[in-house]
Amino acid sequence: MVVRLVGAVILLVAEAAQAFTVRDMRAQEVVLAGRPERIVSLVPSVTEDLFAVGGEDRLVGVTDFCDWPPAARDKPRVGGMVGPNLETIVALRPDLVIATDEGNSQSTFDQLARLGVPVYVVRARRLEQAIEVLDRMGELTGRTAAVAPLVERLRARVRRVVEAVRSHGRRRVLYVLWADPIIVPGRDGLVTELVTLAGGISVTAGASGAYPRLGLEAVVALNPDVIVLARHGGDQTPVLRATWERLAALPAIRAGRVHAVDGSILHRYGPRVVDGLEALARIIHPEARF
Amino acid sequence: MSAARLVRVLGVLTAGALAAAAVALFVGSAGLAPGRVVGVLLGQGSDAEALVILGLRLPRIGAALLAGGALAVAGAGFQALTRNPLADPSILGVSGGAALAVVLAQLLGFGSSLVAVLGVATFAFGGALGAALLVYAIAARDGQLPLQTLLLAGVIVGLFFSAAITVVISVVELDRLAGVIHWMLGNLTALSGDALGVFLLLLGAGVWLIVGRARQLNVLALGEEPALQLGVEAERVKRRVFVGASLLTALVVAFAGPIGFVGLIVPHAVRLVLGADNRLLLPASLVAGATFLLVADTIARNIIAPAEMPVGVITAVCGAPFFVYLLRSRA
Amino acid sequence: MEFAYPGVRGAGPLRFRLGALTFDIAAGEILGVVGPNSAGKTTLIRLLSKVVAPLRGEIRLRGQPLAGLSRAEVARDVAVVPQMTPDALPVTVAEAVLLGRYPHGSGRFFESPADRAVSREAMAATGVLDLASVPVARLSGGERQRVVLARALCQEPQLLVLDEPTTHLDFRHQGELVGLVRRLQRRAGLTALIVSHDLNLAAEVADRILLLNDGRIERLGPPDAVLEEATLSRVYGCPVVVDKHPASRRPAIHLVWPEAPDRGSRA
Repeated sequence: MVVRLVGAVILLVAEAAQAFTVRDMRAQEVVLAGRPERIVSLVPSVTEDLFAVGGEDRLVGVTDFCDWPPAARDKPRVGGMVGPNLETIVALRPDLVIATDEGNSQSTFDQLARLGVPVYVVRARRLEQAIEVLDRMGELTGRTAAVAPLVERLRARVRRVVEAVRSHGRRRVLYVLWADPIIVPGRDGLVTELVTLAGGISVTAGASGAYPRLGLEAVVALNPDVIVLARHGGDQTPVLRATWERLAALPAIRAGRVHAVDGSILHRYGPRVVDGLEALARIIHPEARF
Repeated sequence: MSAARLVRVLGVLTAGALAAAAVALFVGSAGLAPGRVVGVLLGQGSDAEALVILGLRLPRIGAALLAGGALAVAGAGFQALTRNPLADPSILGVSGGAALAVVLAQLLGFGSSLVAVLGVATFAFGGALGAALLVYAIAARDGQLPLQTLLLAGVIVGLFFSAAITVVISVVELDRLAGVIHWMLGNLTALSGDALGVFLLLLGAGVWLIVGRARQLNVLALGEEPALQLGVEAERVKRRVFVGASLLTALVVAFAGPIGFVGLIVPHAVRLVLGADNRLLLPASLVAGATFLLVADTIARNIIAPAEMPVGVITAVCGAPFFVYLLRSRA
Repeated sequence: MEFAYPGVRGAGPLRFRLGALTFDIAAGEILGVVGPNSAGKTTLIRLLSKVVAPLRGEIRLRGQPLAGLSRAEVARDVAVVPQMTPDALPVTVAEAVLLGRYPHGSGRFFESPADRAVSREAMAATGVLDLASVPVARLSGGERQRVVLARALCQEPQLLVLDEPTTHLDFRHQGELVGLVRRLQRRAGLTALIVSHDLNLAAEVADRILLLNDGRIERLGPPDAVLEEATLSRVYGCPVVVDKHPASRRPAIHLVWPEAPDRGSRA
């Protein structure tokens, strides 16, 4: 990461003389004429990152799902993540499109390549990668000076949480992303790592994949201490009754150890992911102070 | 039915298709004024505008015309082959095979070198042909192709692939799921020049296979025994038409996913107006199908702009009521 | 024209049971083929028109093996008028008849003016010319039969084969058909093979009768010689009476209906 920062600085210095060339997270070279001035983001997490680093004036297009921060909703829309409208994208005259191969479709990549629009691909399945994405957004928008303190603050908050929960033992946590079918974080899911950092053990950490679907019996057999239900559709919407009624067989539910959390901050890997970590920690270890 | 009539009818239909294409060129999410569009066509206009018109709209119009034509001829061919008015490219399980192949390819994910090299379209094509072979193998007996068995085999193979797709969907990773489902709704995209070239070539082959036997199909409509007695090599004709129709269906599913109703409705509509002579019906279906899908796709990409509706939704919305009307008017 | 089938007596699952058959038809003759059910009459038609191939042996038509001829070549020699027409076809009479020209130009996509001329003649000969633009679906059974006959005539065959031509026809139309076939025989020298289970039709129309029984030729000869009581009763396995048709003096075959009510007790 330090190496990358140094590399970015060298690039910045050499920029005046050459074209702007970067490597994305697929290790592919992305060649631009200069620092991107007109960016279209096809990933809500990336949109959040761009605003967080102060590069939003270079952002000219976002998806329908890019709803944070509120100012993002004023940016021009290009459609969904899977089938964005290419004409709309092209009409915005972007010099860079930022996308992910974990959510956008290959057909979109092919079309953009054919039309000569550069595409920068990001991926994040771990907290470290999420921070790397933030870093890279700083690099792309020339806001590396702003990124460094931001990243340091985020890391500090993570350290505080880890310290605070360390002495309180580990609780068995079931995180339910969706109730019907039951979708849980598996081995490769970011949420699994967050649960661990927050002082819990995700009971579904052994399941393969990022967000596998489990049967109700399997979930009951795992017998968690704490259940965290994800809320979808914004902070204040209550979790649907139907969601937790389905899991009524679990002792944790009967004992009332059920909590809700805002899904959008935990399922994206923008800067708010640390907010999500803190929310999880408060649920798992309410006695911890940070 | 004469060459002169065929030329006249095709001329009128082609004019219609060109008119639809012209209109489609002027409408789109980018909101370009007609003057700008004309500008691009004359070689002026900004890079972005040229990209939209020549890089997106024009290839997409081409894809819609080719796909619509292919589906309509395949449908008309299957209907003539099976002497069953409800036959449709999807009824013979061919699009199910393609869909399964694509879903599997999506599972492997791009980045997997096999998929990257071959491309999703090749997978789909292979899957479709595999399904056609399977149907043929099940139905063929002693070098003959009994039609009842063919239809049943097609339905069974189609059901099998549907079940397989359901299994795959239920285990696929969440972030890939949206992509898979999106593909399965059928979407026309702006194909590259190479892809359009391949599409056109294979379309030509498939159309030649089927239309080349149009007169024989007319005789075959009398029944297999009378056709044999009139000198038609029934088995050879059936095989050839089956191959042609399967090829065309595989082609469309490979490039655009499963799009329904075109192969069912267009031949019927054309038959209502122009009669049942396959020498007119098949070529006319080609052009009429192209126009129909182009109009449907133009609606699909503009009606809820900037979002896009899958074209299969529009064809279904048109198709179902039309079919009800057809059934009732015959009864 | 002679037909020779060395024959195979099938056993078990074989559907066709035809033994060795050799017979000939003179030009301009009408041969009636009769016999009980599953005597092999339909199989004969199918073999003649190359719809099925014999499992063993060989069929020769005018000395040439059928197997060596293409279907179109056979169709130029032999035209079959089937008994059932699919009635759902949305074609006009003219279009239906024109289909009969296929064997004479199977490589062409469109019919030629010569094809249309032959087709018009055939429609005229069978009396359906003024129905030319009428959809076949709207015709009566008798009219449809004549359309199918016209189509067969378009094939310009050496031999016309009629498969149970009067099955669905009422008296009047049966008579019309017989008249038509006879006119064609007289004026155009038509050679025909009529398969029928209606013995009286065969007796009336045929110059000679081929009586098939259990896959073999039972008798071949003029109606008077073949259609006689003892032979028929034996072959059909039920009592028949044969006398003379009051008008034409041809054999008239009557079945002796069983379980006749006792005349005396009806008073």
